[in-house]
Amino acid sequence: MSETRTRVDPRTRWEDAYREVGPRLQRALLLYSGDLDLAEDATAEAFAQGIRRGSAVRDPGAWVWRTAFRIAAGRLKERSRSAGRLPETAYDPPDSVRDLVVALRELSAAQRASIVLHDYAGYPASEIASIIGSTAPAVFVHLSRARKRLRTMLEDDDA
Amino acid sequence: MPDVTVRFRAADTLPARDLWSDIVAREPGSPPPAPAGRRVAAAIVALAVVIAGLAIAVRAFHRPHPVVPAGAVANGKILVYNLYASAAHQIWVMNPDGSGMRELRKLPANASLPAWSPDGKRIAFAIANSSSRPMEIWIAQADGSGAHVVFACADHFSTAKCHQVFDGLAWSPGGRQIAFLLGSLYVMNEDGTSLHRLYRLNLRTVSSPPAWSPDGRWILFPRTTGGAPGAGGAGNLYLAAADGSGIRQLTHCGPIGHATCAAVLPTWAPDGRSIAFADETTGAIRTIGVDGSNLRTLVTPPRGMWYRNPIWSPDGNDIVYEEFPMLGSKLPPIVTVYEMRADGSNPITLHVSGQPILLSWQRLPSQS
Repeated sequence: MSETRTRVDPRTRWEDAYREVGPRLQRALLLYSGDLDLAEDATAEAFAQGIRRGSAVRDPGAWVWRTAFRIAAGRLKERSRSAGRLPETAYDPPDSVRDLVVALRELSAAQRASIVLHDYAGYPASEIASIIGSTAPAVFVHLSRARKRLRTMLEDDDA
Repeated sequence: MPDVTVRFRAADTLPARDLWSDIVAREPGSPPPAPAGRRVAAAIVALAVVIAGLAIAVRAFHRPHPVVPAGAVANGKILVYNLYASAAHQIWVMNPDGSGMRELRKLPANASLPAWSPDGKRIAFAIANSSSRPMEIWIAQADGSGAHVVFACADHFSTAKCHQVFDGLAWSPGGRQIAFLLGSLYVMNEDGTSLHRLYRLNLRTVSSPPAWSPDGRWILFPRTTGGAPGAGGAGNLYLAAADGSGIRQLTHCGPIGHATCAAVLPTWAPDGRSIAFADETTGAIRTIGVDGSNLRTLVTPPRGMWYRNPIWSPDGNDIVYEEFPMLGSKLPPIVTVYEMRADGSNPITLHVSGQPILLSWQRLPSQS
């Protein structure tokens, strides 16, 4: 029995991946960085690098999350080396998430990445560890501390 | 108040502009657009789309290290010597994007200093000289299976020589010969036959493996004089003609304290026109032309850190390197692996862990 194979244009494959995960990735990076320009740039750069690698990337969706977060972390590191705290930006988030975005800025970079990837993007700890270059147990610690701090800060806001 | 987890659901109301036209227009690694007004940015993107074809053509002429025809080779796995791993399995592999790091469990215990064969199908490695075991060179399949000894130092040299520092080997471009430094520069066939000393060097310290040029004409090696780099000595790179016709000095770094560089850990660009190396004076990753011209600094580390172990990707586009805390630094012993474009732009983090040492990047035929 003959088998029919269709060749998928690599760019189409990446565009499909962008349509599937791009907006969510962009929002996750916005939560992580608090900077709209940086979130858009890291998203676009990660997909552009993915297109360059073409078929060498087996899972574009997973690859682009890892790459985009590393690009964003690198950009933030360039801009501020002060204990993971984010530099001030002019971005003004919508009312529905303003307090969350403001509170996230008070977390360390690892805590911020862990809780955004877990609570917003839905990644398990082992994959978060792979994305941020850590271990699953360390991610659990980051998550626990991040939730505790966020809870305190957001409760204070609500009071 | 809502639970923290519930609050994240509201993040779906955050803006997410369609970036696809931006993505297809941009050259990867280009600096982020200036945060000017969005209309200006949109105009720039539109203009970029129009001139994209021209830009690609121009870039082809300005790439620092083109050589390898596009699509001729693909980047395979990177071999990592992970000192924090168990003693039995210190050789690991990871994907070019930093993912999937795993042990090569089929390799024999204490295997170290691995190098991919030029066709990416085999790994040569050493079982380096411990106090109880003279150095041996082995070859295995890419998955670590079929490991066998091709060179047992004790069969050829004195016990004292076999306990000298051994720091790796290099395959010839055709994969038929292996070069290594053991006091002098030696070459043998891949099966261990025809061992001969190519040059008598009287090396007392060896700081990195030799590197065979892609055209097969040269074997590049580092030589330290007056002590190790960082301890009063100078490190320089030398090009030894593979036909035995002579050696010439490539870099001219003076003694530490008076030097502009201390060159170790060289890696050839796949086009054979230039060489990247670690500069142990500044901790920078630098490149130099094979004729000794055009010494450039690609990346300089932050204070308290070193960059080391550059390896050039088989397709010539990228260089992977590591960031180590300086000796004596109070910084935690975390090693970060970065990838940058071959011109030094756009470094991104690939991997963070205990103490990986990158050694070799697998060259695979292109699948396209």
